[in-house]
Amino acid sequence: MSFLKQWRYLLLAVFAIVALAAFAACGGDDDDDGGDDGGGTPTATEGLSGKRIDGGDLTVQSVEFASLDPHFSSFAQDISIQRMLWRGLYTLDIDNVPQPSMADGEPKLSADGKTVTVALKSGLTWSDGDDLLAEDFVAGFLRTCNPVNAGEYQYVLTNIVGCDDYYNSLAGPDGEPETADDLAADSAEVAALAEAVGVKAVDDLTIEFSLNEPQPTFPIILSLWMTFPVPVHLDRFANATPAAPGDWGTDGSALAFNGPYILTGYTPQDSATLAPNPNWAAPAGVSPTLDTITIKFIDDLAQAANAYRTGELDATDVDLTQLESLVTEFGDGEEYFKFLTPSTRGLEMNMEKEPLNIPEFRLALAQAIDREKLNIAVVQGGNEPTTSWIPAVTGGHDPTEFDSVVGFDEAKAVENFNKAKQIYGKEFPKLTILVGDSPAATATAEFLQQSFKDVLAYDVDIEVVDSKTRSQRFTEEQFELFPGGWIQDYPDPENWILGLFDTDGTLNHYNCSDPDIDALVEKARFNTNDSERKDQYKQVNEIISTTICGIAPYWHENNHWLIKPNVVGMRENLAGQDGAIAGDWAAEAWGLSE
Amino acid sequence: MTAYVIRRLLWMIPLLWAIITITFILMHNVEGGPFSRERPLPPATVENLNRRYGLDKPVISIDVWNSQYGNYLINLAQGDLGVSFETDQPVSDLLWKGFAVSSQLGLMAFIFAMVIGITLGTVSALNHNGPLDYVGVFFSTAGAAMPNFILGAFLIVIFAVELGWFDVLGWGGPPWKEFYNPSAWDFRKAVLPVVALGVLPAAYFARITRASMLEVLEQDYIRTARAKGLSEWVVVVRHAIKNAMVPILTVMGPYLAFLITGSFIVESIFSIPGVGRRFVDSVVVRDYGMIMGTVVFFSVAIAVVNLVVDVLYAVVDPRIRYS
Repeated sequence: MSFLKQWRYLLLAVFAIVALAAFAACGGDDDDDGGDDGGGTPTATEGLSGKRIDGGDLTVQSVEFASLDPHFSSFAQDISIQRMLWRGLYTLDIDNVPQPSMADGEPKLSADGKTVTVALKSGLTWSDGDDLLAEDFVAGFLRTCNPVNAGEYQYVLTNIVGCDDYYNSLAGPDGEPETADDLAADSAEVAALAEAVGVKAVDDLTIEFSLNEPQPTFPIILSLWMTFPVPVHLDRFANATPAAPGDWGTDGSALAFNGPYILTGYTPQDSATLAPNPNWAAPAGVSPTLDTITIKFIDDLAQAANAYRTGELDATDVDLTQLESLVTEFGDGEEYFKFLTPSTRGLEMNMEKEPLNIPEFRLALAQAIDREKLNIAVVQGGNEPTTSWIPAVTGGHDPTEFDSVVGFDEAKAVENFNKAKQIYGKEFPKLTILVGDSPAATATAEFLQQSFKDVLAYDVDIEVVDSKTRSQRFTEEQFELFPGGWIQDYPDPENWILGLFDTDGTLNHYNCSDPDIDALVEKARFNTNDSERKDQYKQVNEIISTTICGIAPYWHENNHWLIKPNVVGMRENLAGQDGAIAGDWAAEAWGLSE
Repeated sequence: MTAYVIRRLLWMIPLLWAIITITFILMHNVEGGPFSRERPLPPATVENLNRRYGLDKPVISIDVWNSQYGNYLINLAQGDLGVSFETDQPVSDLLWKGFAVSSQLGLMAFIFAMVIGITLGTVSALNHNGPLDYVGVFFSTAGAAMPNFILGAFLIVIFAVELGWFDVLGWGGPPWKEFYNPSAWDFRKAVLPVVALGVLPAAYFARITRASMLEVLEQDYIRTARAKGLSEWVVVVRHAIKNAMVPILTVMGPYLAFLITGSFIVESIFSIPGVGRRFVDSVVVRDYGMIMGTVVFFSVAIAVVNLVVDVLYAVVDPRIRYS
């Protein structure tokens, strides 16, 4: 930095102070008071700038985790760090195919498909040297099904015999909250329900699952965080009961790990530090080469970009409001990378609110949205416009597949709007778009409002609320139009449909109700013919997308990352499974190069 | 004096109760709850979560001790601030960890503000309507005019990103036991947050000091001191500054409380793990445990600091006596 350049900035500083002082003076006198070897295993190639080195410290940005307890968590940033610290029986490879992780080979199915047996690899140990046994995995499932632990992803284990009964037990036999027959967590009845959960350790190395119905996606489920093992050799877990499942905590020295890393430090609101697990089983042959990983908790991505510039961060998520300038500054494919995430956003419509119950009206709204322009106006072209609910990568359709039916078309939009008017028979009421208070959300709502006005000459209101109010209104179905969407939990089309679009689905808050969808879901749900099952869900996707059954999709989201050239194993492993950090589904492959 | 202090401390109990009650009622009447999520949770999960965090009981009821409010008061009386719903960690742990950082940052900003503010104000007053006075007035106006989120961003871009003199992230203070050990400090991290937080109070202190000093310098006893032939240094330090301190102390007390209890903006801009960020974040996510914990903490901190300032009045000005 030259002397002259330094003085230029100092002069700039002085100028700004003068300008502000002048501004203040004008304003008056304010006082201011105030898989083992499959093609999809993580790759750990050399960096752009040289060969991988052994050692080094990597610092990456993430949002702070809410909980380290894998049997409780629901946030992406939680799952991201949990996958670094613990692993399940299986793990998804870069192609989303389950590969054995702690399991020794594929699961074995009984003749009726309802009993699944998984063998553990022998010789596995926790980070503290204790044996990793079948009972540790059984304890993990029981912890997720335990109503006292209140795991937020218990619903994924609904097909395991007795898991729902145990999880719902504290509401008593009537299933209704706060009634006289509510069971106590320490009661014999609850203990019996825990005992009845269909996960058993047959011996130290064999786990047996009893399912309500055959489930083709069960191996995928066995790779997810809520199935991770519990170190039952630690006192608080050894003494766990249904009423007291043991506090997971955040103290790395009081936990044991079976993932590629161990937790060596955690400062709330600041950072977590990880070091390689000396007992990591390295199922794909990839072991950590770094000395440490520091995860810095930074919510403000503009600040993270500055820290990336100063070299305090080696990788960070990208602020979409600065996307164009950051791509220019860091170079597309040089330090800037993006990857399509399995998520879809769209305009959700409460079909119980008139006139949103009229298919032509919903179609008119969908056809009035120019998704390309919306994408540019709101996120600087950062996402992928779509008219399909399920992304193609998860068994849905190509993003442009339904453009001719529900894509932007002013003439068709007006035609459908007029048809809807005739059906409705009177002036349409003014609907309201309920939107969160982030700049991107309000910009989206304003774009939609203007689109409906320009194309349909139809005025809608916008109500901006904070995120918690927005979520509560959605859950209580107190909305008309609602920009929202879905991020998949696991890579199967059922995760995009079940509970979301079946008539009685617990998450179907837009009240989509279509007998064809219900019939297809009924057929697909436990269909053991996998290709037929996926095709049935694909048909459901077509119905949802073309009839706007609850949502008019407008884009699939991309993850955007800045990664230093000397970081290896991160850009090579970008995948839809990434939680909160680039390539974090296979963090064992991260490293640094010369 | 002792009786006065005890009386003030006892008055804090009803004051705290009133603050807790009002906050509790307001908090539970705000739309959206801690488990309202972008992706709605299944009803059984919400029910189990409510039970886990004690939200399955009525907020307030006739049977007060079997309500959330009653339980909170009982636990608080036992020194238990509860658990953060967002992080599942004890509120008291999170507050202490955050306060350890915020108080250090606030104290450093306060010292910075005091040194700069009182020096500038005094120099301005002693050079009334002279060039140094204009410099002081300019600083106090500019400092008061610039919000710290603009100043912070400005400092980061110039001194961290462009010049590379300082870091963007984190706080460079050591553990409290090493507070006086300069080598334990990471000044690359500590300087910018202190400046960003300290400029506004420095500007304010400079204005108050200048005004107070100008008034004191007009007093008869100053004229008398000068007539006695005392040196200007003795007149200013022994007679003028000490007497000009009372109004400055009046604003310093609340400012100290304000600074050491954390600044959401500065802590956010520099990613500092302080208690100020905790408070605002807890409101956004409806973390009832943390909201109540921070309100109780801030209330006690401000009440105690105000009490200390009132006691200091008597120390600085012997004419003030409490009964």
